[in-house]
Amino acid sequence: MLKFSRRMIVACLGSLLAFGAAEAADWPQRPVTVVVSQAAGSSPDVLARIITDKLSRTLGQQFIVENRPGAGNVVGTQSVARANADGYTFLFGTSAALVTNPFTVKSLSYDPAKDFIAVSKVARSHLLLLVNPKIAANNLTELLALEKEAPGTLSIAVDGPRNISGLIAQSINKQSGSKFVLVPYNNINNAVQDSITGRTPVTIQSASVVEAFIKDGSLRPIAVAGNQRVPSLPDVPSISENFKDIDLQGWFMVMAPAGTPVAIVDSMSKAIARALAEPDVLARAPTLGFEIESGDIVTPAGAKAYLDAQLVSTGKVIHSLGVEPN
Amino acid sequence: METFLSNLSLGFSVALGLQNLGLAFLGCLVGTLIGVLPGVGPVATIAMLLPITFSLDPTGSLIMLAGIYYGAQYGGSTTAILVNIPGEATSVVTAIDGHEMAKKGRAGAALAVAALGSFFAGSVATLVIAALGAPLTKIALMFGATEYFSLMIMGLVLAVVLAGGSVLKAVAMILVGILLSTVGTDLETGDERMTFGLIFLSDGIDFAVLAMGIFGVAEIMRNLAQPESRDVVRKPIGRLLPNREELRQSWAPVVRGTVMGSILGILPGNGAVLAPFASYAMEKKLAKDPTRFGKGAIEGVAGPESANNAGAQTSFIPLLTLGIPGNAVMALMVGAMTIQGIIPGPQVMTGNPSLFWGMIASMWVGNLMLLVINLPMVGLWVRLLKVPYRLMFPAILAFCCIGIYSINSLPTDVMFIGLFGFVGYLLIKCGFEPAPLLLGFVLGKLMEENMRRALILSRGSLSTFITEPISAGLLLVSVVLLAAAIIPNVRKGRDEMFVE
Repeated sequence: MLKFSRRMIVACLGSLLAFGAAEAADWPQRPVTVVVSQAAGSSPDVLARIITDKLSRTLGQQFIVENRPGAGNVVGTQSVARANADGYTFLFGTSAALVTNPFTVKSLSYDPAKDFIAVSKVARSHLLLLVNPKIAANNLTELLALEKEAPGTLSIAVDGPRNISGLIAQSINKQSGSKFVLVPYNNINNAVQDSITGRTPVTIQSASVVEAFIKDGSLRPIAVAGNQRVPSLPDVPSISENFKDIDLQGWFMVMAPAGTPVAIVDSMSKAIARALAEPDVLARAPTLGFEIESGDIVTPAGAKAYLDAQLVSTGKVIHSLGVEPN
Repeated sequence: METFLSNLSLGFSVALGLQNLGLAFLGCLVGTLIGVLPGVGPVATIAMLLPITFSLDPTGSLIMLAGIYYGAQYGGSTTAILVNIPGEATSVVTAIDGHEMAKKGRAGAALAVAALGSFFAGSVATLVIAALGAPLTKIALMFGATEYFSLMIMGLVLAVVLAGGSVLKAVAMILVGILLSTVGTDLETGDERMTFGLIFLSDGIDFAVLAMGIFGVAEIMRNLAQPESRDVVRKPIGRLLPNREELRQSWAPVVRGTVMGSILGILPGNGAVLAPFASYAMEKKLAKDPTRFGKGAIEGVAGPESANNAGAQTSFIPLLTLGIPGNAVMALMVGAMTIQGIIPGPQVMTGNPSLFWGMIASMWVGNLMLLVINLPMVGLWVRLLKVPYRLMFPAILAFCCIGIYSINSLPTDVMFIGLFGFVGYLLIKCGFEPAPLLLGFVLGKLMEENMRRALILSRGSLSTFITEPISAGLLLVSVVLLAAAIIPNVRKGRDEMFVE
């Protein structure tokens, strides 16, 4: 036992030396704040708490989650954009805050590309297009054919016209000429209920919310948002397989205020990568509807490249819909 | 029947285990404490405690979280009765007569009746969940946007009945409440309404901020403005427990409130909010002397408190049997379950019976614990009223500010409490009651959302509200209630005119 722990210490020292060159040796000296732009208890909040719990252990200082919800992620995101760039404030950024808001909010108080440095992309969320089992469609093509037979009769439950599921639904309407009627819901649970009972026979929902209803057959998944299939549903095609340009998906990226020392950003990014590889994090994420990232995209450079690409593709989709910022 | 009993005994064998008993106690205690503190609600607390539950077993963590939830429901009533600050929509009604009772030195009786009524309601609701949970779910599913809109209309009519004074003033307050509820982002278009470009208004006004200001702060200002009535709350406490007469007056409202709360709690989309309002309106209608209401009628505490607790309990039904949470706390419970690898839904009952029945049994255990925790504390709470105002008021204000700031970390929320407090004070001075305003505010949001959704689903046809049978029935009841409330008033008004 003693021998084993000594070996571990040596291993740890070794890895410290290996990273030493690029990492900030004197960081963190005091507690670090991670701002979540959504309410306590929301699924991004839970994911942020799972990850910061690991960071607190590995970096030896308390990582505190601060919830600053409001105005569609603007309140929290803006607070980090204006925070001291001293390595003690980070943002647990959502795709809505970083790539949707720039095109839907007029005079947005922050610029995702200029006011932030990307640290790590941590996870992507699985968004599914589902139908009530009474709808005789097993994939998007069949659903579109069904809708063409009686245009304007099928309702689709979404979370709002400027939110991701609403944008996806509008894009499908735009690109295929279909006339799904968008029904916005404040509360996803009401949306799920109405889809189960058939009032809104089509819906777009997070995988974690609808998992039980897929299992008992009260909802049938027919497509996955984005350009990748989901491991747990290998037979369900992605929306991009039908519509190449509709690459809208939900994801989370840790960001630092612009001007944060590069060494600290690197240290943070590496600590996050280690946290993401821990078995219990990997095990818990799917139950929240998330897929944990790994590899290049977790590094600052990889995250930055992904952010830039998403800004371009999301902007293109939103412009094509004629949605003006307001 | 036999399986029912064996299920219940399985449940109790789980709930009465030492660890689960301890967790239930801990949850109830924490819940009571946060409920008593103005502003700190169960949603924020459960969210903060969520990571702690990672290390507990699923049944234990759910038992603890459920304990916090109904503990907070009960604790909220304590604050409503003692200092007239309803922490949640459901304790608005309790504040009306409960605080009047406290002013008359009957705070102990009000608190005790609230505890006993809640316990009775909780016990009945537990049985309802155990016996009828699954079949009742089907009824809940029949409620869509159309039915919901009509239910909200009925709720607003109840608010008119609820008002103590002039019907006209009550209607005015309801309309102001509805107007306030429309501040924020339009769900359908994403446009901002009445926000004046202010970012903190883009999500609308927070209920806790409005309630705390218009009830709590306004009450403090009113007390400060009237030095002669300063000591009303400090009259001799008198008997702590209700006397025989009070118990006699209370039992029927408790039973009626329990039935009302159990039914409304099952409805998805937070139908339980309506339960205390409905119960209060009913008691006032049935009372021999309705003028006592608003001046410290014990029925006005007993009925709504029972309805509140029964509704809080039966709102677990959609969650446990369907996996659809009825309100924000239930949504957090879903989060807690999924983190533990349990997917809420119909399969929990069959796939995980010890968790399902253990949780149901723990509800009853939790209610018993609340009684055990709270009855002895009645004396302590009442003694708090003896604290001089010069110490109590600053303390209440400080707690309100800390509580409200802890929810969203927004300084503007704290400033808004002050603003609404001032508005509330003006309203009291002009003889307007704040309760209908709050009800209008709560229902306004739900009403607009459901009406617009119903119209989208019907492709713009207004007749959907009459052609759907449940919706038509609810509207008919509303019309009858409204007529019953207004016609006597109109006649009285005419009489008064003749007298002049």
